[in-house]
Amino acid sequence: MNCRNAQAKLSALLDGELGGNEALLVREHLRQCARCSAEWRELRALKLALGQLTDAEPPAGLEDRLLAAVRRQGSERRTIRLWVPAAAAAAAACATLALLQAASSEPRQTVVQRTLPPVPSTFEVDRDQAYVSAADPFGPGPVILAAGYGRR
Amino acid sequence: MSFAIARDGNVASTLDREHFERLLRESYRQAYALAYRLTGNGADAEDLLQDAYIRAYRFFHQYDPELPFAKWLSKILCNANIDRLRRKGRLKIASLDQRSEEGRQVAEVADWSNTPDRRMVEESVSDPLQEGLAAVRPEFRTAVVLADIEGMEYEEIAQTMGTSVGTVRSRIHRGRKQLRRYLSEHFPDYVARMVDEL
Ligand SMILES: [Zn+2]
Repeated sequence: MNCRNAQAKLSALLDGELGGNEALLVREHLRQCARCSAEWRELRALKLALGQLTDAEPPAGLEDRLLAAVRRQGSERRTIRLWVPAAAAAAAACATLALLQAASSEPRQTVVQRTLPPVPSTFEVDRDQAYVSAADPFGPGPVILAAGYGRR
Repeated sequence: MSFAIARDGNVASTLDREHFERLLRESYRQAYALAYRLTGNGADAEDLLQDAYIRAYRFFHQYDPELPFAKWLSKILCNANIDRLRRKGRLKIASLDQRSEEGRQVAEVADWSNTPDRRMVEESVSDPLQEGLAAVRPEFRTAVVLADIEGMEYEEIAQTMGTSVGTVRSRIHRGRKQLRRYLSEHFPDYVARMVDEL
């Protein structure tokens, strides 16, 4: 094993992520090579030092601020505007027309005036009915989910 | 319309909410420590942590209670951090990244080491290691932090970062290389002391 090969594997050896045979070969090289064993010592020291870093202390009031942020998420009522395609509005108009024609072709029947509800151009959706995520936690891009989505 | 809007149910029931809040209380200290190592300063760490908990809450229905919550949150936090840096335009597109990491001829795409996270460096002058971490490319830094500070195995890091074990191995190798280079350039005495104390 040459220096280049050995050095590429030092980190994995250090982390115990190198297979038995490979690990033996790298260790063998380290016994013979001053340059690589110097690098090995440095890497070990570095890993140890990183592991000994003391955890940063959370600032005062962080827990409350986090809880408040999460609670805002749950209670915030937000309106999401969804554009209804023009085709849907046209289809609704046709349906109204068909209803009126059917009524006029049977004059003796009592006609009850029926009007379809107007097609809304937007849906008012509350936060607890559907929600838009600005980003999928595991990937980029927006996601729109119904509230019941994925619930067990 | 391509989807139906469910009118019933809440995003999270009261029970879920209470469960989530309990998990938050149990996990936020450790999560803050991780966020601090990834961002290098208190203000960004708090922003990142808040972002992560909000994402976690929205996707709480995807959480498998059989698994440790802290690990699930770490995964969200690491991804939120990469997104944050991407928004800032600090990361190059992923495909280029992947090629450079996994290709045979590894071209050092990033000159990240020459343009470390300025704010991170400015706020960490008292700690050579934290300053050194700031000089490491974010994906490499994340992998090193997860291995050395969080004590994760490569397989676990791969799951957390949504990548392969081979990529993790490469990221850690290159991250430590960048860290070592930075430290020996800027803090040679510190490195010597560190090795002596071994
Ligand atoms: Zn050698």
